[in-house]
Amino acid sequence: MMLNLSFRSTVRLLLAEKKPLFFLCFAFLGFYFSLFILLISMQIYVDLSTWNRQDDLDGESHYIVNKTIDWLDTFKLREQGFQPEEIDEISALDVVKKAVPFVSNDFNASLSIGGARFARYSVDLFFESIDPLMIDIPIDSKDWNWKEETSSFVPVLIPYTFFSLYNFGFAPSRSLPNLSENMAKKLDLHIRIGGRGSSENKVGRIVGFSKRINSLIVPVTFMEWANQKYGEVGSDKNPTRLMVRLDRSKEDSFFEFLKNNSWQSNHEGATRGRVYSFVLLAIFGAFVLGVLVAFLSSLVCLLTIRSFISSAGSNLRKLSLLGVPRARLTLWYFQLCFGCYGLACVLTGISFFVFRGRWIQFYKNFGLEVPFSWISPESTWGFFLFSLINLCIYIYYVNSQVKKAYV
Amino acid sequence: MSERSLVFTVMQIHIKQLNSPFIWETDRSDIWGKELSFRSEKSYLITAPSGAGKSTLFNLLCGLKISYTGVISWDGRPIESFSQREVLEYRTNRMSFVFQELELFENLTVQENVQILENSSKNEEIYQDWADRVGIGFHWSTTCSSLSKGQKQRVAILRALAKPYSFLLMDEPFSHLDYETIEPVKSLILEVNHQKNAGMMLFSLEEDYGMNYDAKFKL
Repeated sequence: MMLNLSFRSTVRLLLAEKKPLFFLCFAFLGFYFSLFILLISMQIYVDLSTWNRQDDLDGESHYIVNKTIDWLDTFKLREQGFQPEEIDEISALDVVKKAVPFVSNDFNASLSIGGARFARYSVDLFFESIDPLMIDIPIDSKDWNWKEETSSFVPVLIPYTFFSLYNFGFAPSRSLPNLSENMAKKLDLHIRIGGRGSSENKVGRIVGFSKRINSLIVPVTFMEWANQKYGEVGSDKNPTRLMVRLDRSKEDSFFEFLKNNSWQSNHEGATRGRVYSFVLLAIFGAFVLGVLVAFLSSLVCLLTIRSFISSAGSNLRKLSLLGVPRARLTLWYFQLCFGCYGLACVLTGISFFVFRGRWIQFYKNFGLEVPFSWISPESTWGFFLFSLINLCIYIYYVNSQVKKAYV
Repeated sequence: MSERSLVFTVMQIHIKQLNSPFIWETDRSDIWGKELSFRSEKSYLITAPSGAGKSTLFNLLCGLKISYTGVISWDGRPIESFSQREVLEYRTNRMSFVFQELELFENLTVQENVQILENSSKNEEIYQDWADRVGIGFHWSTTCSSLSKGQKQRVAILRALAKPYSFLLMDEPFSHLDYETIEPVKSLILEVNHQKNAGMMLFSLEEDYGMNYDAKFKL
């Protein structure tokens, strides 16, 4: 023990405020809010930055391009597909890294789902296929290389939005069970294809959910086989949709090109990118604000410590007259300060993890995968660095204030 | 008494050509501008009328940072050469003070004030007995802020006696005590000083309080 006093008496002596507990709580809350705000700001910023990097892998972006539909198209007075020279023109653009046409089906196709446990639903549809290199999710090449003789099912890639629509729209409206991604991949899809007077059934299986492509994708090998067997004879349609891979830094010139040709893309992707950048900027602003608030809170704590020491100044002077070493008193203030800080760290940790749990759920509701399950290394290091700087400042400050009070 | 408080060490306070900008009249002084040594086995009385610089001298001998000219030495070393740690070491183990302003911790009890520097409470009974002898035993657990000036003076004396020392310096320690109260306090001081083999320097207005001094000085 530093002095032969109870903790309560030591507090009365060395804090000497009329309401030391109130001021201690004040300092504690200052520590807590500064740490909590900083940690939350950092983590949100890191999450969003990571998503932005993932979305913008190697500075590339992907869009689906088609021609604009107007009344001429309604009466089939104009070619909707892209001519080979038009595709070449797009490919030749500086901004375009790759342009790949979608191949669509020339046969009739319908899909039904359900059976013993679920009500059976059936729908007519169309498939498309595309170069697997343009697909945004990893797919098993063994499944994707479909062959009539050896493959037991037709692999199908569906848009993630379809899956979300089923779970959050269709299923609740029909009292159907919700499906997890894994469960959906285990369901058999009954695909009926036909044309030219014959048809056959195939078993399909969902192999993935794409956030980039907005149609049902099947392997090129399956599409070629089915078009050849059931497609219209002599049909040699030009592709109506293209997928382009762009250099993100120059993509504005591409949209200008589309506008000049009266073509369209799923431009909302680009808008989303801009909104994303805006959100990122806003979050960065919030992060800076968070850091500023954190430092201001630290300053409040510093002033509270100063208030403690200056109000106890006369007692410190008396203790120095009695020969109590300064280091012992400084140590007591350090212990108090570190104790408060440690407690604030623990509470910040608990609050952060409680908040993070709800926050991850919030991300998931938007279909966002959380890059870090709990806390990123950047946030952890930032937190420790901030704490270290804070504690160094407190050590220096407490030491100089006590020294000043000594005679 | 604890073993620590019985350790005997002789201390010497030496002054040479001492003066202070706060002191105007030094011609008839036995101390200002003279060379003197005070040894901790002996008792000294320093008297002076009010305003003659008793507290200034007291504070200088305590090692407080007051401007002065001349030399003040503790055990042969000028106090300017002492580090703060060394000064505190002297204040902890070699010297004990009763300040005119008392310098008590008003929010603490009598017991806490007296035992504040103790490592344990094992001597509490002894100190309580001292408090009974000087007439403040009843207030042992009372906070100092509610005591009278005379009672506070006795608490300050008890605190000074309770810590280890070789030299006890007291600045007008009985100024608020009546003769009846002074007697037991005097006898306690002499008894503890004798036990510790310690010396004493008493600063007073004109009274000598009959404490058998080895030397008397007029300031």
